[in-house]
Amino acid sequence: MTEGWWRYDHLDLDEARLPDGSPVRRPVVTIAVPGSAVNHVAVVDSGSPVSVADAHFFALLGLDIESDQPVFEVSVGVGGAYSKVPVFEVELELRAPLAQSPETVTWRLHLGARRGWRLPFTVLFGQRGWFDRFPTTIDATATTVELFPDR
Amino acid sequence: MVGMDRTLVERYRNQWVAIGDDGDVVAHDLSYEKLTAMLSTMPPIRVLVRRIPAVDEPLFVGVW
Repeated sequence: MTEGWWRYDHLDLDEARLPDGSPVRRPVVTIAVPGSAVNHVAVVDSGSPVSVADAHFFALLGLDIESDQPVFEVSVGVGGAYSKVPVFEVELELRAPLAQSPETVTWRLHLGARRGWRLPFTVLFGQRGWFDRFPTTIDATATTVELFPDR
Repeated sequence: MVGMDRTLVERYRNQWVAIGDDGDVVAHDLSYEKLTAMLSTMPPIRVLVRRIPAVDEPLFVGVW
């Protein structure tokens, strides 16, 4: 069982620079479909009440968002556009920063499937799905995630 | 989190990319769906998938 903490440096996702020329660095963690070699960037956002992902990501999880029954639906706005998104219970794997460790942490969460996704990352983690599972500290340069047995 | 070779950023703007451990782009496509389908046909090597935004894309500031 993985315990302790992992520290992820903020990542420049190559977005437009701020007017003073400084890069935008996002608080990120690395996640994957359990057992997959393909890692995905997830942004951690304490101001978001829910967690959502690119609708196409759900196919990798073996879900058909058109025919599978969601747990519930919720209206959200992402990037200025509102829509009702189906929310599914899924299992994800948290990966260590910079692949420092082969250890992983698997957890189950409710994840909304957002169509028309154009953000430079695959998943946005909010209060439900992330902060209710992982105590997380975000400062100016890094995100520190406390690892505990599933709770 | 693996970093991307900075010299490659402009070439892959507005595309989804799969970045290998050496920072090189091992696959890319405009579509996330097509990129992940492509990866599923390749030998399983560790990659990080993300999108390089267009240069004039507005900044994302959250979900509500």
